Amino acid sequence: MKIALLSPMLALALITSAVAQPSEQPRAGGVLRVAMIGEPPTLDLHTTTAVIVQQITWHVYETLFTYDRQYNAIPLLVDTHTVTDNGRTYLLRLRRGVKFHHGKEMTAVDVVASLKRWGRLATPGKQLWKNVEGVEAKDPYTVAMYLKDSSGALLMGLARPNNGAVIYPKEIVDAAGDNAVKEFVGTGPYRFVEHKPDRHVRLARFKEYAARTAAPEGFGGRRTAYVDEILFVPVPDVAVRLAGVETGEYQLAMQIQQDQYERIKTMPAVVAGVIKPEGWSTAVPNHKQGLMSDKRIRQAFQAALDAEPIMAAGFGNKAFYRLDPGLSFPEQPQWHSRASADLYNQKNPAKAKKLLQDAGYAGQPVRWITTKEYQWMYKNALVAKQQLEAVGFKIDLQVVDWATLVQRRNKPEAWDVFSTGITFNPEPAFSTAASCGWPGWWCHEDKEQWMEALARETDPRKRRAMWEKVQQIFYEDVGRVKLGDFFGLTAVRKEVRGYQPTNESNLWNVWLSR
Amino acid sequence: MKTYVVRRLLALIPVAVVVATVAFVLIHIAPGDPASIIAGPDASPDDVARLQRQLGLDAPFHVQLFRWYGRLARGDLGQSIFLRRPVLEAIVDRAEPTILLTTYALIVAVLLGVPAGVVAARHHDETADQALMAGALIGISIPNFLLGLLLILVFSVRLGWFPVAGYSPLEYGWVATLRSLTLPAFALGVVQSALIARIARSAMLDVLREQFIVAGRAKGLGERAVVYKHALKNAMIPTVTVIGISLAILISGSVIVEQVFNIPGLGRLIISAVLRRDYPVIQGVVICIAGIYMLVNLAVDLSYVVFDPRVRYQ
Amino acid sequence: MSRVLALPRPAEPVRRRALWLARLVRRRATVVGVILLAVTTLVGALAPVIAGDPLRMEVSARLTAPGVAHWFGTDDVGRDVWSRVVYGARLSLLVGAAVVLLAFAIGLVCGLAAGYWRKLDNPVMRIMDGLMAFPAIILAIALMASLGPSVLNVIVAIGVVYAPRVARIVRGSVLVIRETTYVEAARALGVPDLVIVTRHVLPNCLSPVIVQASFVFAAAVLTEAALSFLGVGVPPYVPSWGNILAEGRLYLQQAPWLVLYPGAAIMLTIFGLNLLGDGLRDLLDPRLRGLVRERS
Repeated sequence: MKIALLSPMLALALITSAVAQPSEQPRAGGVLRVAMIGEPPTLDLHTTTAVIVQQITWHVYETLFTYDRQYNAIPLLVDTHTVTDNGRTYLLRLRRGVKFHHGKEMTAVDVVASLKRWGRLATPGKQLWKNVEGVEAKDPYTVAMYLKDSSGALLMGLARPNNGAVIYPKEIVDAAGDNAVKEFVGTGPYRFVEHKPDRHVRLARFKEYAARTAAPEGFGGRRTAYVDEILFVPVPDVAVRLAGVETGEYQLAMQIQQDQYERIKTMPAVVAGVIKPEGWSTAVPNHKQGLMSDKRIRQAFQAALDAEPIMAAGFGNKAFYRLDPGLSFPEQPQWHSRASADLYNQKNPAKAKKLLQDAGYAGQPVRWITTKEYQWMYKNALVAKQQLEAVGFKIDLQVVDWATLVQRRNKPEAWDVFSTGITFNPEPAFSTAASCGWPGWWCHEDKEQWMEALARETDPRKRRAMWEKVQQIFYEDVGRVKLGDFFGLTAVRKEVRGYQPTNESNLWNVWLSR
Repeated sequence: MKTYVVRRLLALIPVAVVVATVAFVLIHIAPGDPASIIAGPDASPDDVARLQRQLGLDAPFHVQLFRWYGRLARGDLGQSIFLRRPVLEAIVDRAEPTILLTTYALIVAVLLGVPAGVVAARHHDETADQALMAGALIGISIPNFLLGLLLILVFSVRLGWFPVAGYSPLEYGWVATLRSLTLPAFALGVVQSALIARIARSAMLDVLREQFIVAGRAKGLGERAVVYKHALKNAMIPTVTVIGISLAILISGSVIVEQVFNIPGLGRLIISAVLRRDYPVIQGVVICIAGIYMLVNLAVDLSYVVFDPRVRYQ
Repeated sequence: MSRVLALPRPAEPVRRRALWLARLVRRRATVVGVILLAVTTLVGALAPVIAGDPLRMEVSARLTAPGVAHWFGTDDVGRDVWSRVVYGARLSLLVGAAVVLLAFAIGLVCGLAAGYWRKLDNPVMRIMDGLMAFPAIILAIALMASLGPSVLNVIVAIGVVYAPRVARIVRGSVLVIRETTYVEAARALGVPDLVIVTRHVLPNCLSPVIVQASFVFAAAVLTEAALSFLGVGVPPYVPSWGNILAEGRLYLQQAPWLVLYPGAAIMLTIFGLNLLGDGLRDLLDPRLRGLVRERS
């Protein structure tokens, strides 16, 4: 079974400003302070797709596989693996001597317990588990996964960092059940020290970390914890985030307003890190309950929108956004498609008005929850609201903090539309954009079939055709409303070396030059 | 004197009861039932019902009220929904920055305001007076958050003398702490100093016209003795009153300024509690701040015993 | 049987009012205050005429500097700042006036009741003291948390916060007026209490109250701006000076007009109100010069 190979163009597209001086020797020590958009809603990575949780916790927890530079799956906690039985049985041989932060060695029972929990609770996990017959520990260092059908996506699913299949100790999994885990113990290069809500999440170097021996490649290979401590500080105010990097209070600030790019370039001590692409901005309608469960209203919503001003308001700098209908990005030529492009960015108020009329819409308020912590979400919603109200919608825009939004979106009776971004994802089979179980509850019979087929198929060309079909249904049924692609901007101080701006944002192999 | 002190202390009790009642009522005037508000947007109907029984929210109003008083008397301020820890703990955790900021701001306000007021009074109706009072009037007209933003623009962004935001805890060294609190303290303190200056000036003016001052001058006492020994001491009463009030205003002003400068104090705590509808925290912070305010007022009243001999004989 | 006698009103001739006005005008500072206030009121009242749509987003024109097309420039989503500041003035004046009315209505009733009827004094004033034990903005924030963001709730919250301060001043006056001979005489003659209170006590305690009106107005404008700045005041789509400042923060360096114009508007309005208040106080109540608590 071939691991899906991504085009080298993708790696090239992940352009960053050069931060590492290749000739310089890394040095250990120091505290890295990272300014984040706000509080993480939880620290249990199995339970949420919120990117901020992954950006913090994947220094603490690890997955069985991870991505290399080209976003192919390579082993991390796994040593070797074999695939037998026509691709239906995976034997994963674990590395030995990998310690958890509380001292115990990681063995197969921990992996089995964690994987089962992930398959039960995580959005990509649930998707993948449809194809899983069973998981068992064959011996202390071997895990067997039995699939119903061969899969082109299993390893990618296990490698995925967001809402990832991270390995917890069995006893912690058992104690938590379906509730969030109470202790945060993993195998990663940093261990969890403390979480003071609204102050910081503090991680410290794990001295007994079992690093891989190979040279670092992408997110794999050797992970070295150079800095002593990492402090993730919630700074909901983007002005303060950037200003803090300018003055040196934080060494790294995530999610900087894109129109600050020119300003950052003039700052002597700061480097702008561009994440291209970061994701696509979207409004997620509620298919399960409420006004948006009516297809005509959804279609009216989609038809009324003019994407250019929406994206311009949110991202400012033209170099940082792009109007494109694809569910995947042009940087991913093996997945990108322009299917149903006529339904994207329609700018058709007449059509929207007619659809509203047909649906018998009587001016009931559409509850749209958004947040200012991701500035662009708020601005996108604001401009979209103006356009929608021009065709007769009544929009009740509710602005809350991100952690509240992530909690509230789980309740179908609480909202009609919510703002979010679908972040870059190398493997569409687990994309939240097309997931039925994810808030929005877009469950469409044909689409589910195509998604399942996508998970099992191994031929890249056939997979691409399937994803295109999903995209067509996405537009026709208005699964989500895509607004546009955007690129991310981070601000990094010059003394931070080895940092590669990516969506996932890893801080291992990063050191402070002074 | 003793009766004065005792009377003042006793007068606190009904006020404390009202404060506690107001804090209690807050959660009941919100639309929706308190249990589902406390349980949060994530809870199921069963969770809400369980919480209702657990917190005794199904009891009649007056029973709930008395139970609330009891809990407060024991120092139990409840549990924060979002932070998942006792409210009192969260408050104590956040108190350091707010206390330091308020104290610093008060020092700034007094050091700027009292001398300004005294000087203005001494040079009554001359240019110094006009200028200082014009300045003071502008000072009380500028919102502290606006002043904060302007200070950031000039002193942090342009000049780089101070950090733009954030707070350096004491454990990392008091110099860094002072540096991080300077701009916020000035944003708060300058506005307050204007008020103090105005009051100090009019208090001084009133006193300077008093009989015993005229008599003192007639006696031939030096100007300095007149002003500083006699007048100032008597002008202290309204001035101390205003300083006491200033402390309360500064505490509340720090709520706003903490947002501008991203300082993790009580102000940020209550604002994020409001945005998250974390009522136990709102109630707890409100009670604590009112409590501090009451104690400050008490201290000011008791200080009259020192400054005003007439009080001792009441 | 008792007849309500038309008692001679204590000296309150029109002549006295004219004298006040004359003295008011002679103080230049006060005149400046009145002018500033008048300008703000005019601007706010004429908002639909002199300003465009404060909510209209012209994204292609975002962050343009002040110029011919946009007198105060545009903000980060392309809204005209001039329109927003003008409608912000409208909102501030509306809130300020409504708060004054509300605070005074409650304050007068409570103050009169507490001052005139001894039995009511303690309970009413204890409640007022209790409310005043909370710093104004803290109580306002807590009330907004319970009531939810809306313009009406902002008015109610700030009005309730400042009512006790008015009540205390009214009570002080009432206590004095109650002991005057003509009130005693009225009581002796059997005039009903309510008549005494409304016809004789009330008009005479108004002068210190009027002095406070200007300061309460200023405090209301300031408090509303602060609440909106913090995000717990009026809803984000209502143009308020506080909102505009909050949204303009990020662009302090590259688009300072977003902060400077609404900031100047707030300052000038409050400055004018304070000048007016000072002037009124100096003229109407020289007694209070050393004691009044202006911004508690």
